[in-house]
Parts: sequence; C-alpha cells; structure tokens
Amino acid sequence: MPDPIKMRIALDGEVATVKVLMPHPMETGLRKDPLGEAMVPMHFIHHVVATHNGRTVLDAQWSRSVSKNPFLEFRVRGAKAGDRIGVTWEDNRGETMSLEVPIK
Amino acid sequence: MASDFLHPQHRLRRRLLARLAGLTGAILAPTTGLLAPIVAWAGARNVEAFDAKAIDLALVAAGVADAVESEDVILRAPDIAENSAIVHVEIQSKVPDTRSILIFAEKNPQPLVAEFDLLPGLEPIVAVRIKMAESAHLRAVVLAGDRKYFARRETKVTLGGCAG
Repeated sequence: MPDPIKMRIALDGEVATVKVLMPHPMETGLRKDPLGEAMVPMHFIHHVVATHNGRTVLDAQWSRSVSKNPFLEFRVRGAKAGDRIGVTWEDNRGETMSLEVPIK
Repeated sequence: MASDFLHPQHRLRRRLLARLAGLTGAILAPTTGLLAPIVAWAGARNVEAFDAKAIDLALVAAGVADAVESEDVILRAPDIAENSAIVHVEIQSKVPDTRSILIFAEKNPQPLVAEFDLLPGLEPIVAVRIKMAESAHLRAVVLAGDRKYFARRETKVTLGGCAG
C-alpha cells in the first residue's frame, strides 16, 4: 500500500491554497521491469475528489500521464480556520486512500 | 445514445445529478427516462476521450474540438522542462462560471491527461505535475456552460521518456 497523502494548507483571507502529495507509483504500463523483459503493469490513480467540510469541491479524472507521486494544488474559497479539507484518491486497481485535515 | 453520453454538457449534468443522487441512491435519468443506479463515489469518466490515441480524436471525444482560443484561459508551463516525467502545469480560468478544466499533452500516447470538474467553492485554478512523451504543445480547455475555450503553448523536454 502506498504511503499516506500529505497535505499543506495556507489560508489567506477566505481562500485556502491546498497543496497535496499522493505517494503512488503511477505506472504507465509502458515501462519494462529493469530486472527482466516483462512490462511493469499499469497502476495509476484515476480519480481524485477534494472536499470542504465534507462537500465535494473538486472531482478529477486522471490518466497515467500524471507524474509519479502526484502533486495537486487547488484553492478553496469561503474557507476559515477549523474548516476541514479532504482528499480521496482511487487507482485503477480499486485501491483508495483518504486524508482530511483541519485548516489551522 | 452513445453520442449523447459524449456530449460534455450532458455528461456534466449527469455528474451533477449523480452527486445529488448520492443522497437517495437512485435517480430518474434526465433524458432517457430510465432508472439508473448511481454510485455516490463515481464521477462519470469519459473513457473514450481518455483512451483516444491522437489529439484530434481526443478533442472530439471530449466534445471540445470546437473550443475557441481565448486569453481568459491561462496555461502556465515551462518553455523547457529538464525532466519530462515531472512537468509542472498550472491552468487558471478567467471565464465566469468555469465548470471544468481539461489538460492535454498533444503528443502523449493518450493525449488527455486530466479533467478537473470544479464545484461551487473552488477557485478556477489548478496545478498538477504531468509526464510528457516528447516536446509538444500543451492544451488547456475550459468549459463554462455552453462555452468552450482553450489555450495552447509549447513545452520542450530535454530528457525523453514518458515511462518514468
């Protein structure tokens, strides 16, 4: 299982800038295993949802062209200290991971 | 029927309705009149657009081939990327009521890289790091109601390979 999501939130007035790192191999399926002839199977995050106090604000569909250990930045308005920002990803194998943190 | 599903406005409407329907578990589909089961988690993925293997096909499948170039779509990316596996791309829309932002790398094996659907409360700006198979134009498309706009810029990569 990949490492947990990391999230940093900077609040400026009523806008929260959210930077997210999602540890994940993001294998395209086009790369050969360095130890053999076999191709490394495709394995990538294909769906990401971000929430503000539990309400969806961003719904993203991704291809395998998103970089390894994906970085995502977005901005939520109407935010204040104590609000909760959440991120959930799902990959093409059906694995999922979530993180929800309060704005400081 | 199949072409209905590809129309972006139709898809968006279905998706928004799907989210509302997450509360009740089922919804009367707006145009077909069929009772469609809804999974709260699933935004509908435009599989045909993501699978398209050339930019012109991807644009058609995504329903944005007729988008108009606009300065209200701001696409920030490096002129030269030292590592093609990590290209930082930021898209900002100044179009009122922006609902979706799509990013394409025109020479990737499958050019559609990501689709971001923005719901109320989100600023129309997103950044993501992407892989580029080779030097190519990047294209950002913004959907706002019935309007579609795009911006395009070239990014050269000095280290090849999308595989990493």
